[in-house]
Amino acid sequence: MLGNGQEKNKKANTGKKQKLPAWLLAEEGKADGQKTGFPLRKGSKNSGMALERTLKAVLSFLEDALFNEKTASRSGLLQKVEPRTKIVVIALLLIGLSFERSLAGMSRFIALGLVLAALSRIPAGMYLKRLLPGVLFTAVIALPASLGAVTPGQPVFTILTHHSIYISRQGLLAALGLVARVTGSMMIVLLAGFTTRPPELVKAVSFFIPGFLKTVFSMSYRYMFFLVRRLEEFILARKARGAYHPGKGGTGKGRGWAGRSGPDRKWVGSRAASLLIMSLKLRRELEFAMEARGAAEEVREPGLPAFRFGLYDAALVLLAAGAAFI
Amino acid sequence: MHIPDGYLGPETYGSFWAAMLALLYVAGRKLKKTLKASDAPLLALGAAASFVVMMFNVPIAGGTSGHATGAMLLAAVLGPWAAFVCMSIALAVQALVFGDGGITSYGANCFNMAFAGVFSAWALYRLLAGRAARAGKGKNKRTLFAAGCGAYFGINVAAFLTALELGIQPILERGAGGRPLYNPFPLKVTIPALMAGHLTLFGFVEVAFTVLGLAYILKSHPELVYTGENR
Repeated sequence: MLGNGQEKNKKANTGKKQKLPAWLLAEEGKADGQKTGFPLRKGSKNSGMALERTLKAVLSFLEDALFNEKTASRSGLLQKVEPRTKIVVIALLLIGLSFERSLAGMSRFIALGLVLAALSRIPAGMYLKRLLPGVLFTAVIALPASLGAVTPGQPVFTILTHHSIYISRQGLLAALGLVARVTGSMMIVLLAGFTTRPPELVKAVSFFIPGFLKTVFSMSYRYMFFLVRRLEEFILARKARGAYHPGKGGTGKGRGWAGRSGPDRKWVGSRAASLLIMSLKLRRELEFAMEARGAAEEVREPGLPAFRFGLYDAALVLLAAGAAFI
Repeated sequence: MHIPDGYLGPETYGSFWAAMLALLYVAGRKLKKTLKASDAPLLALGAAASFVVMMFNVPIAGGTSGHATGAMLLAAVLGPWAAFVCMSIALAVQALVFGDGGITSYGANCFNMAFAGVFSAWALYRLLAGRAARAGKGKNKRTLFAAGCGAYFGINVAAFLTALELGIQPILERGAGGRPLYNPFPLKVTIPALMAGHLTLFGFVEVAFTVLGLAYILKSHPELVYTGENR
């Protein structure tokens, strides 16, 4: 129950026709930022989807990096191989596969990839999850190549006799060959990622890069991680503020060339620019920090441990060389 | 626009690897002249920024979105040689650690996006911007217009080169009975397939991304725009 004083105040307040701001009265999702000044603007389906896609890319990066760290720490065949040797092995297998002309030969590389994945204790589900999008994409692209109109040759299946639309033997082999080659290559590349900690993998590659760029390359991964985390924060902050609502659309009429997704486009541009500015400012801070430590002349990036070439390494190099050249 | 492994034959990817190694060597020497040995973290941060920039999805009209390469934006801030090196590193990490792109086709991808994409965009930008980029305030519209044109041109040059490299595979590499061994589609298919999307859609994604990003930098930190004298 309200006291007398409070009741008087209430009457006084209502008597002054005090209005709540329009943005506070507006129902969630019905606020119109342009007319009421409501700070939480309703975005278009398009812009919301774009932000979701960016967030998905960020989360996928973090998830993949974390998963690679996890599988790389398992006790498996490829995990025991020296990272620099592994780079050579992967390169040999990829070059070998690229020179392969027969489907049977390509299948041999796919089988080898499967065996290496199993011996390295890579979870089948995750391996497939990373593999399938690329393979399916290639399959869809390769499908029209089997048609006689694209790859003329001996007909194996006639689709429309009247219009002479048929699947040619050469076309079918070309399409299957492309899918097999891409599948094999992806399997081999993923093996490196799954069985080596990402920073070590980057450092292993930098071993083969001469001079100034070697240090740059080996340092880059850690900064990528740093900036990706900042991007994640940008997006999550925007989501937390409710500054867009994915999936609730509008026509964009009367909002100029940019339509409803214009402000989100601006946001994307400004955030990308912010990250660039952040990286440029950070590099100045780094420069000062290095000067303060007396390291102004040269940056030394801790590399990989001393190179070792054991039994596993030798066996794997021989296996890869055999698969590639025999 | 990334060409995965398996689409290019050894003759093509070998040539592009050789070309890229030579170009990266030249870039390393060029940058060494302007940067100190202690500037390695600066380029590493640029590479990281390039990697993150490629993650952004830009909403465009008509319910679609696409991701930009950021070639022009990077060149406008870091300069063309540094942008080329940074994009090359970002593409290498994408291909190697995350399996996005290809290892054998890395040379071609790098040549298309990091070299041709950056330098063609930069050439048009400098031609159109003239001294506007150095003049700073009051000349921003011209700089942004030049950057937009450069971005559109750069990404389309990169797409055209990608289409060419893919389209010549059936001519260069054929197996028994004349079947294509790598990408099976000829130039008359690859050029329209890639250019249609880039001329009408992804080119404008790149323009929007570049112009909005550069406008923000010109407004908040104009001193960071590369003029050739401030690095």
